[in-house]
Amino acid sequence: MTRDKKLEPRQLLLSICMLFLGGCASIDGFPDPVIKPSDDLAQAQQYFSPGVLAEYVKQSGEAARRAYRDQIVYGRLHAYDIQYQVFLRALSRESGGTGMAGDLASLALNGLGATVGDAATKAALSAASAGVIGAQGAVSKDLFYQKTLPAVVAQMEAQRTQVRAIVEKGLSTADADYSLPQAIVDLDLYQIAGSLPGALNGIVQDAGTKTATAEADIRLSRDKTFATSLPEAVAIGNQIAALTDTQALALAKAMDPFLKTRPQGVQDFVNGIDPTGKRLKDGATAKTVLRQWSILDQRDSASQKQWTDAIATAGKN
Amino acid sequence: MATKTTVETWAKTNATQQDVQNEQKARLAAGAVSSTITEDANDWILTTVWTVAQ
Repeated sequence: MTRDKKLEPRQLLLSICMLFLGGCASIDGFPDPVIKPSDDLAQAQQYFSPGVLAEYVKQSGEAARRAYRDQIVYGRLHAYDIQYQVFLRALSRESGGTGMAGDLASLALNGLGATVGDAATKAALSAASAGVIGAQGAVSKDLFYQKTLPAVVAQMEAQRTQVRAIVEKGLSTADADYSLPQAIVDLDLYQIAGSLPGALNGIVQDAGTKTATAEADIRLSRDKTFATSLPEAVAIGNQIAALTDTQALALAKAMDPFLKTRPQGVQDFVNGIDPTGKRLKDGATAKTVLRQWSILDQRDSASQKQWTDAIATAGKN
Repeated sequence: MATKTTVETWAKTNATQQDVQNEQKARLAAGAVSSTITEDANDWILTTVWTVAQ
């Protein structure tokens, strides 16, 4: 178990913020690591082996399977933490250059102006944002590093903490309730949460939707037929999971005309998790979205027949 | 991280707690990030968080 090696991100965040807020462009803001990150990552490769899932399935009994799950998940968490630490160091060094400022500043300043700080900070960020846009990329490097980057790092930290809490909560439950494949999906989100695009996405989302959280909920009422038809819905989901990407893409296209016949809540859900219609272009996305749609879909016999017929046809691809 | 939340309500006259727990497992198996069950006097409420495809 490698949990005791975990990064202390808040210390890193504080360090990086102090560097930037002080207007300092030092490249030596962090102490040297005890173990070289490359050595640590090499050791962690065992947790990413292609045979991990097969080995997991081989484990017999809840206790053995849970222990193996925990070992893999904490090993991967540790690897992602090392990478994140390396990334923060690189970000710190970047303060001496001009690299990414132009791409990030206007996006981040716009989002931050709406979401963080007191009135004076918001005014400063808004003014800075206008200056960035007006200057057509002639970004003030000092302004970017003093005002924007610490907040972007803070956003990364907040998102990583959110996802980590989900993983830790899952690991506190039985393997039957939180399987290794499920944990790996969450770990992918953990990795994305610690990236600049992930942080910027979160900032923009926050700016646009924080005040409309209630509207973001999709509300559905279920009747007795729905409650008693779970086995059929699960069977459909399993069939979708077994499709190839090509077959899943064909299924997505076959089911698309039926979406507008569904209750508004179901339509809102599908359009919500796939706002750009990527399921109609990408097989892997199609499989992900269709599994989620099928389990939430209405369960009358006509709807289920649409699924089973379309799956049978798609399976011939 | 962009997410969507579904809030599903079952009248207790239509579903047992076990039914809703089975639904909860199905949501997680289908790829939900998290799923929780709460209840009020008349209903079971299954709140599930999903990730928005990028």
